[in-house]
Amino acid sequence: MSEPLLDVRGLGVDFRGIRALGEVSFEIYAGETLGLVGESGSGKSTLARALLRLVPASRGQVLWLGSDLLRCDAATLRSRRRELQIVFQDPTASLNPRMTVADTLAEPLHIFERHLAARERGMRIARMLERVGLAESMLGRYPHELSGGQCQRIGVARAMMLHPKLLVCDEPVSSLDVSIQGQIVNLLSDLQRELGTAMLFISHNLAVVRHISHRVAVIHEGNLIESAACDVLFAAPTHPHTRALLAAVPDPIGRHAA
Amino acid sequence: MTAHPTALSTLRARELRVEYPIPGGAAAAVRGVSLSVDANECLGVVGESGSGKTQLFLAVMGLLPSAARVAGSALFEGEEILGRAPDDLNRVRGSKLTMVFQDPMTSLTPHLKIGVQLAEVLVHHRGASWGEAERMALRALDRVHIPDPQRRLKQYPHELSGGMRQRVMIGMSLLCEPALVIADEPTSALDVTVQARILDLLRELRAATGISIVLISHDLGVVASLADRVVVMYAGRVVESAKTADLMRGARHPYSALLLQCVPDLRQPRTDRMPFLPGQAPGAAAPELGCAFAPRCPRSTERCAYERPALENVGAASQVACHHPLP
Repeated sequence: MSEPLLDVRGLGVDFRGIRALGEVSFEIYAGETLGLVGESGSGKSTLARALLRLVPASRGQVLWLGSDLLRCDAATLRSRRRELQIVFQDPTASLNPRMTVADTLAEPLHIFERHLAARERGMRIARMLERVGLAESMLGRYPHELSGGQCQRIGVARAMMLHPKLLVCDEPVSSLDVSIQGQIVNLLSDLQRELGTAMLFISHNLAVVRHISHRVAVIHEGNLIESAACDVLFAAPTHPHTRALLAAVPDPIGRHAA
Repeated sequence: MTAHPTALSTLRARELRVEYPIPGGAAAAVRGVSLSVDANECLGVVGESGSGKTQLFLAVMGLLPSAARVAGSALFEGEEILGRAPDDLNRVRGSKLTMVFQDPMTSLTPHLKIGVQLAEVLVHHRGASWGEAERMALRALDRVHIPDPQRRLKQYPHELSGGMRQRVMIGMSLLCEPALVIADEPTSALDVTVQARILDLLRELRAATGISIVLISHDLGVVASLADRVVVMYAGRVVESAKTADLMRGARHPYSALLLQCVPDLRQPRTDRMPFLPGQAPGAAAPELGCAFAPRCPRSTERCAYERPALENVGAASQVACHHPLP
């Protein structure tokens, strides 16, 4: 296998002396999706934030194409950020309520492609909006005029505007109706297939992770406890905690089939 | 709905409507819902965001904002509770009729200790002394399996995890031995493992106390794991009502069937695509013409576009509102 895109080595985060993340190591290769599963408080969001330097790491390395993101200067970090994007859990709260859809999608271009002509910018935005399945009439809308599912489509579109190499999705569907979750998960896997974006997909819900991941890692109390190819992990989980996570998914149909 | 006209009903709603005035008309969040909850029954209410499921039960609890216009009837233990003055309503609300909300972070008062919040329910509704009330609060925490309850009573909500806070809310809802607890998405803000434990707790408490429960959720999987009967709501109306086992074996309404397909099932082989419902539900301001689900329905015909299907009996205990129900 070629060099990994992202090589995380012994990454750890302490908050005021409390260990939120122990020492976590894993790799993500170009074009693959790593599912990261764990309960609230297991450290999965801290991990996502630490590797994007949204919270300071206390130890370890985050090698992005061979160079350490945790030790690069501000200018290098800024230029790297266009390659590393994130989709957050709460689709409404993660959009600026005073910005229209068009403004939200234009912002990454204003920051990273400042010299783009207005017409070209408009075309890029329209193409992305169509790509995430929204009508052009949405451009003038504000977040409060959109449903949760529509807001999350905008969140995905914003993150994909610059064609990042890695997309970190932190619980992107857990605040959506079950009936809508599939829309977003399928959209993310389509985008990945077309654009070859690698993904770190974080969720507490194994049933969702199963649909999108190539490999799955399980995090518990700040440490990775199991990591395997998706089918292997679901067929034969080895760690007791992984088995507990699997058993927690309700089985309504089985319960009533008898 | 007339399938359960027994005198035993703990709650019986008839043609309940909730509307909000908007410029040039009204937005109808609930468009005429009739349902009943029997003694010691768990009724599941399922629907997507905006289906009116929460609005319906906030109306029953008298908790809607003042702009809301409520019509119809809701009998709680035989007495009308819609349109009652707050003082009058408070004789049952919070004691005999209680509600557990979705977000355990915001439904507790942040600046009061857990013990005080629990005790004040008993002081207020039962006229208990503070000392007596605190002893009962301790028992309430024990009953919902909160470890070290003595210490928890002296803590503030932010010191507890989400699952613990939801246990506190459930313990609080049971303090005055209610006849009915309305649980509105009680596990949606929680992890899958914590959700499973909260559902176990509700199941256990119901067996132990004989209370009735209304369990509201967007997740049919959650509802089906606890409820005896399920009511499926869409765009402010009931579209299907059936015993849970019957619904799981074969939903009659295409909407229920699609919701059922969206329930994650780890026992099925992994598929490339995650099942979902295309499009989205109409808003409360949308005019009513025909079947509200028709635009998203794989079975819809021209008739569905202009003629609204009535909720009709199919079999002994099921009802469905569809021109083309599944066999």
